Amino acid sequence: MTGADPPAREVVTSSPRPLDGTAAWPASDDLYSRGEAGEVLLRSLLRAQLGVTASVLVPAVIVIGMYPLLAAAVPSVAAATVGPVPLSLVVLGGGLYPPLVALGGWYVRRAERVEARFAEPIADR
Amino acid sequence: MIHSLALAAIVALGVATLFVGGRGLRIARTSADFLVATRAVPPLLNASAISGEYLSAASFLGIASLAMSEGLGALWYAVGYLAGYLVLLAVVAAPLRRFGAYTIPDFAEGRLDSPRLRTVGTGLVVVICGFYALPQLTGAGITLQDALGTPYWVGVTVLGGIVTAAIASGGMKSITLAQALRYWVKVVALAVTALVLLAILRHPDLGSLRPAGVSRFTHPTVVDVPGREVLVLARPARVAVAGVVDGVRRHGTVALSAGRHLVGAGTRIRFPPGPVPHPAGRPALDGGAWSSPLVRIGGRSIHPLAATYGVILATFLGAIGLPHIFVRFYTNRDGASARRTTALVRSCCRCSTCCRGSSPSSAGWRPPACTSRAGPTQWCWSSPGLRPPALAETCSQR
Repeated sequence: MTGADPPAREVVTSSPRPLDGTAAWPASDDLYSRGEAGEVLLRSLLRAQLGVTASVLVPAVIVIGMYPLLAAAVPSVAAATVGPVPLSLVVLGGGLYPPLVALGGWYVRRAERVEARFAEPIADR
Repeated sequence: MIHSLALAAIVALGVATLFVGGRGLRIARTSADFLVATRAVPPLLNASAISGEYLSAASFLGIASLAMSEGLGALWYAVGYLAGYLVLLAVVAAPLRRFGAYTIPDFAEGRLDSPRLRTVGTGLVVVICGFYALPQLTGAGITLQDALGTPYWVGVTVLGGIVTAAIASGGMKSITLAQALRYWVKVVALAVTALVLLAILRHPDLGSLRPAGVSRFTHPTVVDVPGREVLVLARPARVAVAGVVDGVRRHGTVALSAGRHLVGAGTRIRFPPGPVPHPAGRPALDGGAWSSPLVRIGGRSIHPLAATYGVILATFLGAIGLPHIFVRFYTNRDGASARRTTALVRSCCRCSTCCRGSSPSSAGWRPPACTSRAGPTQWCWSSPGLRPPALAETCSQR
């Protein structure tokens, strides 16, 4: 807050909305206006994004879902200990987190790559 | 001493909250400043703020106390919630931010082109936030009650007032800074506890992390019962009582038979060495039952696999339904930084959950471990509905 005057305070209002009842935010007009090529591009982007999402969520569900199933089916898994510490504390208190965090980081990298690939042909035009 | 320390800590945090709130006030000028912090919150700051929400009283104290009273299966709440952020990351974060709306109802209306949906969405947000604020305010009242001995309404009014003032003056910017600050305070608090526990892990008084039988008092132990409670004794015991037991006010030694006893609020009982009495309706767990990784509902093992998957599913999908988490993605600069925020949240949550996992109340710091030869140890049970178990079941040595 040095030098230039700060902008005047204004009354906080809801975001401006059109009066004719149309949606305030055109979602993908820009792409559709490119005709068939835009549609193909959009569909390939959606498919790529769905693929990335599934490739993260499915392993996550498997990683998380296996342990209760094992513990219920094999009583020795439920009762196992690692040294003096119960296995359940090791798994639920720490062991499950690294794979989940790694999946998250991997998703971010892949999603950004998919977007970059999508942005290239559009930027060309 | 404890009171003045607690007071100093609470005042320091309150002043810090107001200070960052005031900082937000200087910056906030336009609607975009107020509602979405000018959409310029960097990922790390935003991730800290979201993790501050995640690490709320519910998870900070609630999961730890559930793990203590109902077994380690309660840690699934933490795991499921964290996994919920993966769903948030993969499905919601970037598209939501790219859309450019200010709020969830705006998004619902714009995306599906339905003004009615906007109304429904607004109603849902108000309901969810209301139910979310209720326990927070209750917690504020109880925390001050516990830490300073003030009446219940003081905590609700004072802490509620501070937070309301900070948000109303500076909007999203203030609350983002305040939440981020609180996240780091809480992480440090948990880390210190965890480190202390690790340092004394080999101390013989800590006992086993997984005792063979039910919890036992190893020496005479004083228990404060804050609310009316039915306690179940496994075997007869001669106890020293100050307060109401079975409807009679007593002061002195009483022989209690095995079985159920109604204990009045504010009663203090000194138990001899032996099995720890447990609240009626919540069975005493032995080490094996306590350390089972399956969820027990109310301490009972009923369809444990279904209960576990139920908790996982609810928390997995529930995380994407939290409006106060949702709205934070609007404060990111763009979709990519919204995504990076979520990925960072998961690291933040992970490090805090690890600390929590190894913090005393969830790491098997059960009654025998609480005791020490140095002197009588105080212990208290919660009365369901009166106060959260975590606060009441904390073992404190005074």
